[in-house]
Amino acid sequence: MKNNELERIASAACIDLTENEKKGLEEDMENILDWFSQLDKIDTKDVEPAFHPIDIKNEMREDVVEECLDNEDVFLNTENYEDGFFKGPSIGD
Amino acid sequence: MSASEFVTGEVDLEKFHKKLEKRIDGLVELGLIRPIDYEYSDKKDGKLNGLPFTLKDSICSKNDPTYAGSKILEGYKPPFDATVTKKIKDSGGTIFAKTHQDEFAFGTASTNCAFTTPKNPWDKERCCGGSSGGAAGLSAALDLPHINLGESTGGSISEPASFTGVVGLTPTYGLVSRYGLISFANSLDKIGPISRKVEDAALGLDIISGKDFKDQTTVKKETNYRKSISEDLSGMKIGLPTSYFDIAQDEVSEVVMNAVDDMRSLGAETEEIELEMTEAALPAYYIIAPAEASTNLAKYCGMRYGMEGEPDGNFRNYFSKIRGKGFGEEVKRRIMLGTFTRMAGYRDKYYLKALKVRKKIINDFKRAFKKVDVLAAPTAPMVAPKIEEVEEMAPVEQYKLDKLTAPINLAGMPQLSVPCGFHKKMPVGLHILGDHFQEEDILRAGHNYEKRRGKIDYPEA
Repeated sequence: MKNNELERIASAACIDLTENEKKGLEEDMENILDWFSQLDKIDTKDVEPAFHPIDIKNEMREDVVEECLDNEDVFLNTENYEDGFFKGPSIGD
Repeated sequence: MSASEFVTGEVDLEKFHKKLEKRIDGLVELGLIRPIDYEYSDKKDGKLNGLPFTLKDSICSKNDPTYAGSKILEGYKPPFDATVTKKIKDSGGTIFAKTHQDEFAFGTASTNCAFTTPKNPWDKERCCGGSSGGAAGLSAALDLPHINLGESTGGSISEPASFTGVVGLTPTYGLVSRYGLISFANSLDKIGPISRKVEDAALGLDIISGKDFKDQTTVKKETNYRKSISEDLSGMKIGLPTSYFDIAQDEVSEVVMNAVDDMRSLGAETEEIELEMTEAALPAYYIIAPAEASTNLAKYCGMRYGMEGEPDGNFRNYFSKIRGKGFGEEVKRRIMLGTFTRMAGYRDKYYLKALKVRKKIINDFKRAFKKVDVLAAPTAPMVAPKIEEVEEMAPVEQYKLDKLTAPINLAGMPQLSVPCGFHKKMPVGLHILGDHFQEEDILRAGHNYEKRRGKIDYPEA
């Protein structure tokens, strides 16, 4: 991996890592990526990628109103809510 | 008494549940379950007659703690039932516990669970396999009728079933709704039953399968799996993938080959099959699964549910702090890997390449199933390793425990692990693999073999 690559990935993935974790991960990822490289020798020219194991047809349900969670249930698992909204951090810098 | 006998028999439910309650502490001590408050179902009109069920910790049940083995979800109580949970409740089943698992199902030995490590009832120093380790261990430890629901992404039902000497059924992708499953990888996750007998696994599949508009990948399939198992094996063609027998330890392959001989004596015909893509499947799986997982796990960010803090400051700092604190080591590793392999500049080399390899793996199996009805092979390359040994393994070495289960899981095809003997006094699993939606064939093969094999003396736990 190139310089600062690990920091770039951690930042994209939004995960704080300790210095110790960074060291361990760098080594693990190098080894794992090296192991992945065995796929390079497999000929996949003209092969379509399989995003799913089976062919799936999109089938819509009837467009009718169904029951959904009531407000009490929606906020059951958080303390950070107010006036029927979730509270979160600022999205600006 | 099996689960299948239980549902049709005359059972004194009060007496039965008193017996079950006495076993709970022992199961907790082995690190297999987290009990939930429950009242036994006395729905006499249901199909299940109050039969006890457990759910893997990643399957939601209304108001019951559901943590997917992760600290980041500790305390979470879903305000809804997963579709499979609802189906069990509607059919008169009783859910009495959640089973421990690797965090977000990332593991092959259940040693990545944030709360405890399930111990193998056959030898408490050994692991139960993973990631549905608690569920498989429970079936080995509990001699009362029950069915567990596990979940497999790359082998998480079959491999622990093999390590603990029980039956694990992974259905075709799309046969069972994933609604309410705390997801790992959307194109790979499959919920399936773990039990002591093949007939019980078939009963479990009868209850949980079917079309669900809450999961657009589900399909309609009207089959009575339990009825389909009784036909004999005469004329069934069984393929033996030579590469699988070569990969497994010689002693393990030998035990499985004896089981194949038993199936031959029951009228099945066998032939050797070459699967060219066997070696490529594991690295392809470990690219695709973490790539999908890294997007799935983006939702755990300290908002709405799960671990949270005071949401002040900038979102990036807040999310990163909570995720850094809440996720375990293997989860971080896989999110980092999955984020990397999808990044601009690397996507073609890793992610798309792996998806093309996956297509070749599916074609490989499709070719085989033109020649034979099912494939039979060892489920895992070895018997359950010691927990200590697993903890000392490098990540890639741990991943290799999935070597024989990853290919069929990438193909989304059904598989059944049935205990077939012992090596080093630990159980060995016979893996029966089928083409998409051919569950009847693998269940029939497994049931006939199981009858021939006879009873297993499970350890007292």
